[in-house]
Parts: sequence; C-alpha cells; structure tokens
Amino acid sequence: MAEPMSWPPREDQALASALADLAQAVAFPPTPRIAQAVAAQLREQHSAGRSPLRLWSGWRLGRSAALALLALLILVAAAIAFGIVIGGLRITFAPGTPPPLPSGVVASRAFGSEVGLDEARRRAGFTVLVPSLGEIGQPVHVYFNDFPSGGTVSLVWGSRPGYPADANGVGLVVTEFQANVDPAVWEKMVFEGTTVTRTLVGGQTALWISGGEHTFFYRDANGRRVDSSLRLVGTTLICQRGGLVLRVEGAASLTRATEVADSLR
Amino acid sequence: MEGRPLTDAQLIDAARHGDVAAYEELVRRYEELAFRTAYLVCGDADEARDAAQEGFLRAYGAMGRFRAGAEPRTWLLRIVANAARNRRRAAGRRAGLALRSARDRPSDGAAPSPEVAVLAGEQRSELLAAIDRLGDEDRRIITLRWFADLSEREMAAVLDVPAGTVKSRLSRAMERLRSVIGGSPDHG
Repeated sequence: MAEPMSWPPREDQALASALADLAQAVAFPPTPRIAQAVAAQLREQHSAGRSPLRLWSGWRLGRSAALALLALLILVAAAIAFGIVIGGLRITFAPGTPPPLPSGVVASRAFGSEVGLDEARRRAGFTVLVPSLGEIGQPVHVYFNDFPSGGTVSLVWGSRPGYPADANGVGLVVTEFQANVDPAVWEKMVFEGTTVTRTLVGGQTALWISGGEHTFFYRDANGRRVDSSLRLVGTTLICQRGGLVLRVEGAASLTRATEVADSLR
Repeated sequence: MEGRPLTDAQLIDAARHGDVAAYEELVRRYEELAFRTAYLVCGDADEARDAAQEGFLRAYGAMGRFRAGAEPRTWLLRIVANAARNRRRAAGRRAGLALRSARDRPSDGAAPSPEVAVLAGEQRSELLAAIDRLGDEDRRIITLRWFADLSEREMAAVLDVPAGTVKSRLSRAMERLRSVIGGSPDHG
C-alpha cells in the first residue's frame, strides 16, 4: 500500500482493497511440517500392515496391474468380437471374483450427493426420467453426481415386490447419464460367473447382466481408469433412450427390468 | 514432460497406487493452506495441526472417492475442514490474529513515507480490531475469503454450505464489517 486509502472504506471495492492489504500483514502461527508427519504415519502403517489402508492399497498394487492388462486386452477383443459398447458405456471382463470392499461404502461412493428429485432435475443436463410403475412408486432417494458431463442421476428404492433389498437395504436403482460422453466413458467390469445377454428395449440394443458381480469404473480425460468403487451384486439392465444411458439394477428378472425401463417417463 | 513437476492429478493417481512419496508431495503443496484454513475454522494452532493431519490421512484413505476432473485442492480442503469443524465444536475457540512486524512483511517495492507507513499501520490495526468484533460466523467467512484467500467454491466446501449461501453470507459480513468500522471513530 503506497499511500493511505480513504478511511473508513465506504465502498465494497475500498473495503476489499483494505482487506487484501491486511491479508499481507496478518501473522498466522507457523505451519507445522504436516506432509512429513502424514507420510511418516502412512509408511509406518504400511510397514506394520495394521491399517485398513494397507489392505486397500495392497489390493490395488497386487491386482490392478494384472486386471488393467486383462481388461485392456479383453476390452479390445470384446469391442471387436462382440461390439459391446452402448452409448458411453463399454463392457469389459475380468477373471475371478473381486476382492471385498471396505464395508459401508457402497451406497455412498458412486451416487454423489442426495439431492431430491426436483434438484436432480434442475442440475442434470438432460430430462430426468422416472419409472411410472404404480407398484414401485416414487424413488426413496435421489442422488446427483456431476460426472460425466450433464451429470449422473441415481434413483433408489428399498425393497419392492420383485426387487428384493440387498445387504444395504437397496432394492432397485435406476441410473441415468448422457450417452457418448467423450472423452470420458463409464466402463463396466464383469467378473467370472456373470453372463451378459444382448436384448432390445424400446427398439434399441440393451444388455442384461446377471449371475455374478460387476463393478463400474470410468476413464478420465487422460484415459486413466478411475474406480467408482461401486460393486454390484445382482442384475443390471443397460439400455438407451433419447441420448441417455439407463441402468436398471436389482430387478429379479429381465422382464421386470424391461417393465421399469419401458415405464420411464 | 520430463523435468516438469507432476500435476496434482498425477500425484493423486500415483498415491492411489500406494505411492506415499507422491502423496507427501501433494500434502506439502497444500499443508500451509490447509493448516491456515483449519486454524481459521477451529481457532487453535494445535487443533488445526491435528485437524490438517487427520484430514490428509482421511483423504489418503478416501482416495477411491476422488472424482477425475475434480479439484484436488478443494477436495482436500473439504476433508481437512470437516476435521477442523469437529474440533471447533469441541474446543469453541476463535483464531487469534495479529499483525506481523513491518520488516517481516513482503514489500511491494514501493517505499512509503514514514507518515504514510504509520497511517497504513493504524488502519490495518483498526480493520483487524473491527474483524475481531464481528460475530463468529462473519469473522470466519471474512478471514477465510481474505486471509486464507479461498474462492467462493472453496469456502462452500470448507463451510459445507451451498455456494449461493457463501455469497450472501459474505456480502452480509462485509456490510456488518463496514458498519463496525464506521461506528467506531474513536478506535485506533
């Protein structure tokens, strides 16, 4: 501040300038060496093997390279041989069963924040569709995740007839996001014991996934895999409607899932 | 590419694969900001240190939830601030702020006259005292905005409120600050 300002500051701009000047003169307590302390603690936990973090990173180190390579090879093979790509969604296969996830994370990880239907409609970059089946009614929870472009809306119900609840109390999930999201794409990894059946819903190609475990992940703008950590057990119908990719998860049969998809308005 | 420092996203990617050194580098980039933010939120240096440390450890454990394309700085601040807010509830203090001595301050190169320097110093003291007279919420939002230099989006993450709420709260706090300064002609 080369010269005194008009004082007291009456305009917003003058007060902002005074505060910016004051910020240069304010003394904070010295910053402790936090990075060093955090790294030391992480290394100690890793070497002692007593932290849940070790389990998490150990799995990723131990399996991710093999899975990534297999996924890449199979992705190419699947894309060429089967053309299993729907909108921005691509299906890949991996051997074996996935390792257990930390408990209590499934519901909170990939859905984003709980927002309610009105806000989801306001924030989504597309028209949010809701099943019009009387037997399931309005969604109990509505979540919005601002990834990918246009966002992802997840509608969640508890147990309903034909849609038994899983261990987290989730019976039916309908997820909607824009198709052909480029360069980022959602991908789906399907583990052994899972079957993928090609079908038609509303005249468009759809996939019915059943019989095992599968997980979603997506690739960022640099092509790196970003794990959504949402692992699903049960059935999923993936279909398309008006530029949207729709996932219907939890229906006991393809017929039920198709009813839900067909009823989306 | 070679020789260039890694981006935050690259460090996070490495940390997700168990590279502690990469995470240490990321924490180093934000430790001062996180500590100061935590200090302004919880009002105590020891608590702020512990909150920042706890927040960074939690963030490491929650790396799987980091979304590609999200701002690592905002994400880390949100987690650290959450830890700091929990500690504030327990401690109920407010950050003590003082002015640095003139010789410790960064200079803008201009050499003001002694009279100007004294006057500017008095105005700074008066402004800081006025901030101290504000209610906790006003004081917190002003210090986060101006002293921690957070954007409105970052403040929303730190305070766990919508961005629109930050804007209106900040605007009201600035108004009250102006009236506190204007209503205290005898101060300083």
